[in-house]
Parts: sequence; structure tokens; C-alpha cells
Amino acid sequence: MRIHIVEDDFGVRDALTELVSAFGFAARAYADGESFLRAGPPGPSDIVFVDLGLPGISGSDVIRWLATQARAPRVVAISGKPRADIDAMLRELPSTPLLRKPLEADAIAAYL
Amino acid sequence: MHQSTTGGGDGQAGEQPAIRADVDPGGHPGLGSVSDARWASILNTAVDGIIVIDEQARIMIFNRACERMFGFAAEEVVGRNVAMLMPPEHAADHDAYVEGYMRTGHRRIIGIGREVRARHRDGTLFPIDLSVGEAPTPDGRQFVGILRDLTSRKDAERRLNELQADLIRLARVSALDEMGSALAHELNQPLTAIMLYLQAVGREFARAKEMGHTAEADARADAILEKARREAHRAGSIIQRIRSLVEKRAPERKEVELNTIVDDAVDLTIIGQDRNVTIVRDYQAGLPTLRIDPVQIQQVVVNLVRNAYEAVKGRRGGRIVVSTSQDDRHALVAIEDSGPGIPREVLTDLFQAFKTGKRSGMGLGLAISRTIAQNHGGDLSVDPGGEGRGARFVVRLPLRPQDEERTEDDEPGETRAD
Repeated sequence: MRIHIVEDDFGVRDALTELVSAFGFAARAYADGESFLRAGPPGPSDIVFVDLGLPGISGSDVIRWLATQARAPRVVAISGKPRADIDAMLRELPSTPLLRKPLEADAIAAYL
Repeated sequence: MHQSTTGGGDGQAGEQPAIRADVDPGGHPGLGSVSDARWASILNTAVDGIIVIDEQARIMIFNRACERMFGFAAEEVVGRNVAMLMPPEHAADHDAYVEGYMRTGHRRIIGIGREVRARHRDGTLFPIDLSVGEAPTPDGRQFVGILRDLTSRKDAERRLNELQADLIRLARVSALDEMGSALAHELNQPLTAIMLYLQAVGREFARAKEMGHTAEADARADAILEKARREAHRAGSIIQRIRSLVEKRAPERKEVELNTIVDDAVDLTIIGQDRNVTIVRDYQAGLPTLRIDPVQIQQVVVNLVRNAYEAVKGRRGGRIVVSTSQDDRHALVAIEDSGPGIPREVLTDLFQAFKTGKRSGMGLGLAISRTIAQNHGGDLSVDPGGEGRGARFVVRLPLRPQDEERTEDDEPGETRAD
């Protein structure tokens, strides 16, 4: 099992990576949706944390793409956007758990 | 009176016994032969206050406008010394002034006109613009004072100034309000990182407790803590930059590098904005420092860049160019967008504060931005673009401030002797 982190903010990406590593998991971090897609589909037992507000290919697009995979990994959306914006983005998506920033480590750990 | 008061052409004249000239206690024939109904009408419909006094400074004529201004009925003041309408410190000396003038011809106010204070019936003082002319009559000299109440104008000026200051602040606050969610988002990032870093360090410590400290584990924890500090610093600097924009403060001019403050303002504005918009910064090196209020000028730049974002919203290949340059007398800041340009019909009202702009809330911001630029002796202009070109706003700021110190010297040395 591998943890994928798709997050454009350097601090958040790096801190998530540190945290997940501290919990003893192998983590892979991507600064945008494009580099995540290029890396190929994750394994079915993997977990993908996707920031909704990515530059370029949006977080929603990444989540939609993951949902089309035959053996889709678990996906957790993260966002610091206002509630209304988030709702608008999630409405068009397959049901996806959401964590709002600032993130609590316990909330992350609950998915690991 | 010599002539009939009826048939003066306007029916009112006959009902106006209020030609106070005919209440003439000293036996003076008012304004001579002209004191007829027509005169009464003129006097009493005049917007300005009109007072006529004789050589002894006794009030002969006190028109309607004066009654409103001073709160006295004409009957109450005619025949009395005009000093009753002056502030006490001048009232005491007025007779001596008049007498001095009669003797020496030395003018203090006659033929000059100036702003003085007058005393209302209730004792309050109010500013008036007073000009005094002199009329020789068979019965001696008379002095005609034309009075304009400056209270409302002063009030209006003061209110305008206050309003302007409020508006400038309001625009700052509302800009911040709109930026609020973007800023919350921006602060969220370092806060999230800090929280996660600290949890990660906690895990490292927990592990060290179980398995014993190793130099390697300590170094790892240190490295993470250092990263947490870096993020805390990032959060702090975001707050600092915002604070410098919103705190209420007196305008303050100092020597600053234009490029630096423009760049800071751009940094601040792009927070939370659409990152698919390209920002090009094209600053001319070696500009002389300017004596300006950096916060106000930054506010203008924030405003213009935010407008530019609005203009390119939803368009492919959005692009905003922020540039600085100079001509022979001005430093220039230009903000150009790749939007659709500004339609002609919007252009005329573009800088009007309370015309509802076609682009959301742009009017107020632009009106204030122009005011700020003009207060600095500069201006804000726009090339509206259109037909494939975006709008280009240009802020001009004088290289040498000419206006700042001058206001005080503008007042000619006033002779304080009325």
C-alpha cells in the first residue's frame, strides 16, 4: 500500500509526506495533476489525497479519472476553499470523503 | 417713502414691509432715493446677506437673508451698532476701526472682502465671507456689507474630506473582504503544514521513546521542526502584509522605490487568484525614488490588478502585464490586461464613484484610485483597448513632488485686523 499526495502547495505537500512517513507508510508526492497522471494509475490498495484546487488539471478531474479505473484506489479530497465552492465541486463527483484545511493529523490517520 | 410701493411689477413687493430701510431711526433716508419697493424686493430676495450701516456703525438695512443667518428680525437690530453681530473680541474694537478709517482712510476690510466670523443670536460664531463697499450719500458715508454664510460650505468641505478618507479606507476594507476567503485559504496552507509537521515530530519522538534516541532520529526531528518554523514564518508574513494594507493610519509620504512597492502589491493581489493567468512584471531599473504614500499607492496597484483579473476571468490565455517606467516628469505604473477592453458606453462613467460599473464594483475602486493618484500630484488614466486589445490603466506620479508643501504657502499673509 502506498499513499499518493497530489497537492500544489509545497508546505502542505511536504508536511503530509512527513506525516505519512512518520506513520510508517510509503508516500509519493505530486505537485500537480499532470505529474500524477503521468506516473500511471495507483494500485487498488493505495490511498490518494487530492487537493481540489490544483492549477492546470483540476482536483475534480483527477478524482473523476481515478473513478474510471477498473480497480480504483481509495480517494480523499482535501481543500481550503470556502464551503460553497467545495460543494459545487463535489456535486459533480462520485461520492468522495472530504477533509478541509487546516488538516488535523488524526483525520488523516483515520484513512491510513 | 417717496414712491408708491405698489405696482412694483411683482405682487409680492406690496406685502413686503420688510424693506428695513424704511425703519430708519436716525432720520436717515435709507439708501437715498432708491429705497423703493423694488429695492425691498431685491434686498429680500438676495441669497446673500446685505447689511448697510452708517458712519456710526448703526445698522440701517438688514435683509431677509441676514435674518435667517443671524436669527434676528430686522426690527431687532436696525438702529443698533453692527458690533452686536461680531465675535466679542472684534466687537469691542469695531467702532475704533470705523473711526480710524473715517479719519485716515486706512482700509482694513473695505473693498477687500475676506472670511470672518459672525455671531448668531444664540451666541455661536459662524464663518462668513464678508465684502464691504462704501457709498457716499448726502447724509454721510454708508457701508454696504455683503455676507455669504460659509457654514454649509465649510461643513460640506469637511464632510467631503471625511467621506473621502472613509471611502479610501472602505475600499481598502472591502478589497480585503473580497480577498478574505482567498486569504483564509492562503493562511490555511502554512497552518496545515505546521500542524502536520508537529504531528510528524510527535510520532518521531514517540518512536524514539520506545526504541531509544539515535543521532539520526534527532536530526530528522530537527529538520521537521525547522520546516514547521518556516511555515509559521510564512503565515506571519502573510498577516503582516495584509495588516499594512488595512490598518487605519494617517497618510504618510516617504521616499520609496516604486518597483519594490509595486512588486509587493502584485504579490499580495495574486494570492488566491486564478493561477492560470500569467502575470508579467516588467519594471524599469534605476527609477528615482518617489516621495509618496506607499500604502495608498499599493492600494491603487492592488485595485488595478484585481480589476485586470476580473477582466480576463474565464478567458483562455489570460495575461496581465504590470510595468513601471518614466517620462520626463513622471514615474508611470501601467497595468494591462488581455481582456476584452472597456466598452465606450462604460468609459465615460468609469471613474465615477457611484455609477454602478458594468464590471463588479470597479467604479468605487477606480474613483478612489484616481483620487489617490491626484492627491499625489499625479493622475490615473486608461486606454480602453477593445477590438482584440485589453484595457491599459496608467498611474502617473510626479518625479518631484510639487504639491505637498505648497498648500500652506498658498494662503497669502492675512492681515488680522478686522
